[in-house]
Amino acid sequence: MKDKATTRVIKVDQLARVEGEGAIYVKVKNNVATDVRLRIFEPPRLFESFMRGRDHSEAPDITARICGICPVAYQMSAVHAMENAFGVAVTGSLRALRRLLYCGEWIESHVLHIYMLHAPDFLGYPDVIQMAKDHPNAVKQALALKKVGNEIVRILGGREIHPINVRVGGFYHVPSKAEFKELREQLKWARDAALDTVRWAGALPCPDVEYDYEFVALRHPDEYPFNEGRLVSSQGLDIAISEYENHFMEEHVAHSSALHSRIKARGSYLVGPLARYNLNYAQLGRLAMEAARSAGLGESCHNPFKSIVVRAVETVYACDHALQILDSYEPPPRPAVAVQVRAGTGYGCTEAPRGTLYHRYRLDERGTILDAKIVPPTSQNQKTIEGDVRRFVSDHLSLPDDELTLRCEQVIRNYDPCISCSTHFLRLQIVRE
Amino acid sequence: VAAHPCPSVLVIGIGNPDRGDDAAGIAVARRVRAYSPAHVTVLEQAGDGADLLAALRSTDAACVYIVDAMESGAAAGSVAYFDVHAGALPAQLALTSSHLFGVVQAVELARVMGWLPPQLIVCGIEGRRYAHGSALTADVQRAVEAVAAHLAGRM
Repeated sequence: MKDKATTRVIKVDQLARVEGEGAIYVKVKNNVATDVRLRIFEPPRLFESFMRGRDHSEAPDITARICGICPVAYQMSAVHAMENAFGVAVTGSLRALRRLLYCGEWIESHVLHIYMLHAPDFLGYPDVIQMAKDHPNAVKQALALKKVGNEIVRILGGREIHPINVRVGGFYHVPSKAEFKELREQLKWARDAALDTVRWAGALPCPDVEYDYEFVALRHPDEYPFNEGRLVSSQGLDIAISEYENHFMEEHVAHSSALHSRIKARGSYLVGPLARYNLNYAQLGRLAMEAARSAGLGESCHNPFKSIVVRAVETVYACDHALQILDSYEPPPRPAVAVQVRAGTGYGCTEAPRGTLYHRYRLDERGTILDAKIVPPTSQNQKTIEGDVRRFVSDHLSLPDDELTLRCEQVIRNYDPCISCSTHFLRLQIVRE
Repeated sequence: VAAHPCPSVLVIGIGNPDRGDDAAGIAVARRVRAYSPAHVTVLEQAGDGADLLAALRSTDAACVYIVDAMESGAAAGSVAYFDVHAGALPAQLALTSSHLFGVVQAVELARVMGWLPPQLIVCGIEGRRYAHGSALTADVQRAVEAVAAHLAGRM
């Protein structure tokens, strides 16, 4: 492993507790991390290619299959892009229901990551199975909370995984008030459990680091971002989502089968909970803000390890917002608005649990997809993840290799990366899920 | 594997019906559902460990069978039964899913939490082809029939 006394190589051949298959390689020479590679060896997914020739109405259900953890995000970005192309606005109760569906996905995804995947790092366990021996209540809390998120997606999406009720213009079926009755009671419990989760996550021992990032997220004037808004950054970017490809680009790197994204003018950037929090703190609402403050978070946070706390704060927001939606819910007169198909290009950008998800489709006059572009959040974060590992290793070289390796994995898990989602570049390799 | 009939049975088939031999668990579940008597419940799951854990925790069934595709290096269509109460599941089974909180982790977490049902058998069917949109291979198809018949004999 060492070619000189001053050279250390840290390899994790199979990253655990991330979605998908990846590896990390770090080479340290003369007390500097000289080479850091997040290797993603998931097979190519080719979704962008096989969307060509498909009808616009198929996009939400096909792209939902990109990820079993964040299918709602793919559905939402797809329908917004189509509606953008057709000049359709979905408003009122239908719009609120879409936000409710997104609340369900955030709760499911964030809770799974906080308790089952990320917390063992902070508490010094190799996995949640070992953690459960000493912290069984955390596991119980996680399952019960996640179940409430599942329930939202099941009622509104038709089933818990890969929901099937979303269509361009709205939904195929909208629930009655009675169908939501039991969910309201579950959400009241979930909101309290989420507040408890913020306290729990806030008390976890956390490395004391602060990094300077360019945060990128949607920003909406009236709400914490799910479905709509302008793309803004902490470096002053403020663009319509249709301008995305003017400012961001993807590039292939030799060591990964996933594309790396960067801001053309500057380089790496960060999407996800930490970015949303820093760029949209004012829209979190009173309850989530108080929870954040009680856990020691200020209005901004540049410690990537604190992302576990921010996810908990966003879970509070999702539970609270879901309750607000249900409190004022009146079923819309029709499950979907009429859509007049026309040729054009449509843009959709929404906030998946792990960050901004961009879709662009070009359509012919019959609504057939001519080409598609999909940029998942993990693709956008890869350069930043490598940068974090490089900095962390350089600052913690005194740690023994075992400990440093574990910390590198923790750094990666700060991003809750969804490697399956981020892999869509043609490079022939066959690995199955 | 106990040969006596169980008073209540839960069969959980796991997999992706659209990815070749990964559908083995789902295929067994559907066959069992077609003939299952009233005391048998059948679930289909995608492989999310949290969902499996929730099912194990909430079931009242005395006997639970989990059926999933596996990749152990054996010949395609090979079938292995693991009595979870007899010991930990083989670690290599964890590799059958890229979702790192998967079936093996869920079963082992259930063990730690004290949520294992009185009898839990994990049935692995060795797969060979997992391409998107492909069907079960002939070897795995035969194994599916054999496992479904085996389970029927215990109901």
